[in-house]
Amino acid sequence: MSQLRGALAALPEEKVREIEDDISRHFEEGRENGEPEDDIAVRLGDPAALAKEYLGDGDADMADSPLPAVKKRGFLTKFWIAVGMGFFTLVFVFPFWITLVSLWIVPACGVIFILSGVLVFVMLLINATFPNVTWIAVDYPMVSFFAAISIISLGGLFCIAAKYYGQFLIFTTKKYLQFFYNTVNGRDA
Amino acid sequence: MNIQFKKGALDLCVMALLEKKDCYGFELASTVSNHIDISEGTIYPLLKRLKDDMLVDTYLMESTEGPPRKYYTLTPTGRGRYSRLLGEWKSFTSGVERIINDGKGELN
Repeated sequence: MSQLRGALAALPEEKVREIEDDISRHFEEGRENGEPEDDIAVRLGDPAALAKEYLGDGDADMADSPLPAVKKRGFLTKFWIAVGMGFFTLVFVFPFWITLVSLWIVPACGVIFILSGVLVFVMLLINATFPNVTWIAVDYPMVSFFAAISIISLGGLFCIAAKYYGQFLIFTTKKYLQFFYNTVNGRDA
Repeated sequence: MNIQFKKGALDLCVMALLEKKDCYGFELASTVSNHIDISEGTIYPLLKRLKDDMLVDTYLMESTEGPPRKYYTLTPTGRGRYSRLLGEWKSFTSGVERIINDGKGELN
């Protein structure tokens, strides 16, 4: 009991008395139910953990569902934090982000690869069907055929890469914006 | 037992007991700890929080032995909150069950 009182020192006197009242009632009620005092104490758990629980920091040993800590901030404070973070974002984060986004162009070229491969196929097909249309003639049909297959497969791989890279970009950007918002509003995590 | 599970479930357990009948602290604590592995002290901060949120109220009643006991009772708001939480809990646990028991991998 005295351990609990010590650990609750941060709370106002009145609250501490209330808590003490509850806990000593618990002992009283336990005794009336014929339980030895030591058992009651053991089952109550660690006084320090209990105190933490009361103080709204219940991750120690006990279960509780504290709300995420929100620091109260005035409009001006929020405004200045937003300006500060905005500046930081513009100078350091934004160039980095733009680089990452432009790199997306590379795998996105896969689409062009596929299109060119398909175009070769179309030309080969026209060659085969209309041998007398000379302006579209392909010089090395066999080589072109296999080259087209290779380039289409390569384009496919690039497209898959582009998809995942794009997802990664969107995810990271969202996370950052969330972080920005939470920081300005004083929310932890 | 996993701490996160307890956190979500304990409020619900206490409210469920109080929904059936008013209880005093020791009664609540020992009933809950008979079924779930927790430190009994845990329920007092919880009850205090529920009281601060006006979901639970207390009153004193004479007992046959010893001093009057402090009984906890669910307020009308508390009852409303309880039935809402219960609904959420049921759909949550049944969802978890379905995922866990999905032996054939049919969910995807």
